[in-house]
Amino acid sequence: MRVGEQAIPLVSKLFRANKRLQDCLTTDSAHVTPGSRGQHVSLIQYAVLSLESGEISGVEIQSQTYGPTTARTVLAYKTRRKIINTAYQQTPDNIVGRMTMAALDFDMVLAEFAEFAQDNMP
Amino acid sequence: MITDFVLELDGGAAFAPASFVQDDRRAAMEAYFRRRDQLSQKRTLFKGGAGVQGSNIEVIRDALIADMRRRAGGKFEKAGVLCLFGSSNGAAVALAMAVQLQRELTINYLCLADLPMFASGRNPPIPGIGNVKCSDPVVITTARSIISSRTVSAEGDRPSVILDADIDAKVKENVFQHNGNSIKAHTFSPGWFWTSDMKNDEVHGRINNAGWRNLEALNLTLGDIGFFQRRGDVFHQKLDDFAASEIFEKRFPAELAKI
Repeated sequence: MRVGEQAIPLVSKLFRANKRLQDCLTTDSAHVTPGSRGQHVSLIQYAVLSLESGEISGVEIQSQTYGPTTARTVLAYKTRRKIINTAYQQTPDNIVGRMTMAALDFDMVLAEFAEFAQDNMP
Repeated sequence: MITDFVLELDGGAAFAPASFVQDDRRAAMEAYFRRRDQLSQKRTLFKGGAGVQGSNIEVIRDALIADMRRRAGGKFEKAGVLCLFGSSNGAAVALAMAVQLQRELTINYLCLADLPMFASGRNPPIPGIGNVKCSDPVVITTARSIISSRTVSAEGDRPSVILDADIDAKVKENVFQHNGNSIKAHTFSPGWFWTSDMKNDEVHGRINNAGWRNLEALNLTLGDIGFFQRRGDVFHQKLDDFAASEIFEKRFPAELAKI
């Protein structure tokens, strides 16, 4: 992001209240990488599992840890969505950076809208 | 006169007064009538069912009990036996009725199928029973995505509730399915909670009060699912069908005969 450019904040119900993930959208040092722990990891785990076919171990789910099975599911999501920073990559990696966070948020907004529409269908 | 009742409460059907048949002597009821003849008592059996869809459980409960009381001649005899089966919202109504009737009738059998439970509790609560707020997942062994669904399933423990009141019934069974349950991460606090793709995020699970027998239906399969159908609804309906045929039709006559 260039100086003066303002990122659109996360808007999905799932992510918008989480400051750590809001930071991930704007700050390189806030990228979520293997070994990360916390509630923000749970939110990413839920998002990728609800958007992508995959499986995450109970240990990582319960300890809110970005371990190997979380990383594998994130990688599957990024591969399908072709989330690659072409400035320095030819294939996706398994971390959640700015582009991935924006894509997850966009997809969750669509999912939440679909859920709302279904709930309110006559 | 002693009056016995068998009542099936269907939470999927609109609320309507119960349709009762008096002294229905169909084949499955032979054991009951044989026992009745042995006792040489003057007894009457009312067997019936009612649709009980609706959130005002108190009104539904009171209407059903008033009808039963009228059929019993204005007053129940404690020797009279009650067998109650409720599915979905009918399970909630069955609990409310059981709390109310446990001192006036002998509850031989109380069976619930997929009692609706909610992570944030039921509002309004079930009269005399509470809001059936379910536990958060304690043990998760694996979480996985579900094909053609935006929900996340979890293997490990099951949702569970503790009812505010114990119910005096000889046999208490809680039949449920876990297939329609899923999990979601809390957004404002650590951890996960039980949810589903059903309306109001309804889930199903265990009753942890003493004396309850929990039976999980493990062999349900999703089969074909329509584009606008929800996975949770499909499994919920299948459990209801299973319980109505296996429990209401087969177990009830046996429990009723224990007069």
